[in-house]
Amino acid sequence: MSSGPEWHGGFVIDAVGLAKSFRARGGGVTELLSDASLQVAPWTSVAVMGRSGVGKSTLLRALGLFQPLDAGSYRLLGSDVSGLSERACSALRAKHIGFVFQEFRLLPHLTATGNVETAAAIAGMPVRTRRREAHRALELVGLSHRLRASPRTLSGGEQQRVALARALVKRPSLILADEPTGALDDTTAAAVLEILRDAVAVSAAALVVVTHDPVVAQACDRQLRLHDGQLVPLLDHTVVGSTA
Amino acid sequence: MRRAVTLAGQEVRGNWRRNLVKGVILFGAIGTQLFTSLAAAASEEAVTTYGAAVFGYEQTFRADLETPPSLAQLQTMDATLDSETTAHPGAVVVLQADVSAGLTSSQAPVAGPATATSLTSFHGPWAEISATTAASTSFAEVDGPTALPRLVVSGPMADRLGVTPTRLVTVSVAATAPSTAESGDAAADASESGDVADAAESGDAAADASDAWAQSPRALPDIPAHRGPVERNKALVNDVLASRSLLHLIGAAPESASIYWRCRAPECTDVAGIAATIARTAGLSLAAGNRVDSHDELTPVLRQQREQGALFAWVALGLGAVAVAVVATAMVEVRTPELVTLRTLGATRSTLFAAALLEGLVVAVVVGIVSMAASLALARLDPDLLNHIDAVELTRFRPPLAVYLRTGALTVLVGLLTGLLPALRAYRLVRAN
Ligand SMILES: Nc1ncnc2c1ncn2[C@@H]1O[C@H](COP(=O)(O)OP(=O)(O)O)[C@@H](O)[C@H]1O
Ligand SMILES: [Mg+2]
Repeated sequence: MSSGPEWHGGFVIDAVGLAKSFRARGGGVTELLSDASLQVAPWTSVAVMGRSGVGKSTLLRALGLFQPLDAGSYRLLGSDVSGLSERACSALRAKHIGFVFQEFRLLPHLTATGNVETAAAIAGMPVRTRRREAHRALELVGLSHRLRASPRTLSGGEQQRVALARALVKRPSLILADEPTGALDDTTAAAVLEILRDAVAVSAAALVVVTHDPVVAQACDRQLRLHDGQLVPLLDHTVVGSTA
Repeated sequence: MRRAVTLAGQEVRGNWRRNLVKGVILFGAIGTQLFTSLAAAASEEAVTTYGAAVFGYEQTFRADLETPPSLAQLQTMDATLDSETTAHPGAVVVLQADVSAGLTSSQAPVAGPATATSLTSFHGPWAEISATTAASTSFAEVDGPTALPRLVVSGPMADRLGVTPTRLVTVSVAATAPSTAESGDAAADASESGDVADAAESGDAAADASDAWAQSPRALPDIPAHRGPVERNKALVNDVLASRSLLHLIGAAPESASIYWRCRAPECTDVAGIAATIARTAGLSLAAGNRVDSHDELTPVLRQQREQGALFAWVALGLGAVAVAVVATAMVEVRTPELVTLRTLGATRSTLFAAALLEGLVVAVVVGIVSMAASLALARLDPDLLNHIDAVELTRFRPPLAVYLRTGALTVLVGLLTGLLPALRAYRLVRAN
């Protein structure tokens, strides 16, 4: 069992000068991240906005240790994660990072509890406590009445709550949410946002949420915009203008 | 590894419908393998009990007399055999004498164009020979009016007699005992001069007085062909009949003689004792008996069944494994998003690989257990179902452990193989993402 870095009292995310380009199909090079920097402390939420296709999901994947980077330094929970093995990255993800996606991504053949338990199992939670923790997490997202429901029988909002419970059951230090309310109506979106903010407050987590929804962005502590491969404050027109 | 087990367990349970499809295909493959093996085993078992079921015996022994018996000793043993088998109706003891040497010695004095032992072909059923037919005109007429009573000999016996036609042959027998070269000559003379009928009649007349056994074919003693226990073994009876009748007819001493006995397992020592007694009454000693029962006629049937069954089973197993591997791989493609999701939850690639491998293994093992349970239930409900030997009805069939061990090993192998392809696929798919 590998364990992640211990809490060090500093930033959860400390990323400086991240760069990532893809070779486009035509032969040219798309530079999604050129010099993106981001620091997020515990108990802090950051909204990342930006045009479609600008590289927001790529940034989240990089922060989630899925995306190898061309350049930059990334310290997660105080430790440099560049050059970590696949196994070590997986272990960090399993224990410390919770993902939430626009399209929920539940395991369709498992019940709500089964989905959450799977995450707990991969996080290394012992068999005895898994079920209890899964139920606790589902209760937290207001689904204690649908514990044995299959994802197919759940509404979009309910599915996203299961996804939230699955992300939160391991009490992650970092929550990465990619347009978590993108597929939901306003009321449901507000509920999901509430759960995310509670999780940040309760488990001293850092939250990075990619969103198009101004309401969600406003609810976060900071609002950033990914533009020309850099993360800039949303309302800082000077910066936007200077790079344009 | 623990995570892989957890994931594999969830996959098997969660995807039970897909796994049921795989399981059904695998059941066809593994089940075919198991049931053909069991059918071969059942038939084999039927054959080992064949003797007991059909003939009343399980084992056949053969013991040679250490010195070749004289004709008189043979007669003594014959008499003892009769009385002993009457006294022990359950025992099957057979005396067989090899006459080739004796015949050769008796042949020499009667050589010539119209000898007493001329051999000619005769197309008639072997079973027709008896004291009556030997004396009948129709039988005697085969070689024309001058012919002597003759004996029909089977192909193998003709071979043993050193006669070239390998089909049915007749042995014409002199009416006088050819026990010495002189009497043989006399017989030859008699037949040549056309006094055969006279000679035969005079032999008949002399039967009471001297050695009726050797002198006249009409004085043939009862041929034991229709005596209960002996009749059961047709092959042996033919041999015995030929040997003894020939000896009786030509009065020749055998080159060698053996005693066969057939028995069921617990009675075998008793029957061996009877065989020894028979030899002892003639003042002869019997070598130790060797077990000779190979169920010859059934060996090719068994071998064919085993070989064809095995071929069929391997083809079925191969096709089944390929089908399952293809289906499982296609399922992995469909499940790619789920695999990616598991990666976001922190599963390593090797965990996913192991889980996919385990999933294949679990399905195969469940199928293996189900097949074995089904076959055990079947063997209990209808023990004879898998037996291909029609002559025997198995009332009890305990499937051999070795078959199950092999099925178990094959199951694990097939499970690993059918799991490996999707596992590799899963490994590569998530790497691409
Ligand atoms: N692995 C990859 N290889 C090549 N191109 C990629 C890859 N991942 C993403 N891209 C490209 O990068 C662009 C940005 O993707 P994404 O990060 O999903 O944007 P966003 O989430 O901001 O809409 C897309 O045009 C996509 O085609
Ligand atoms: Mg995106």
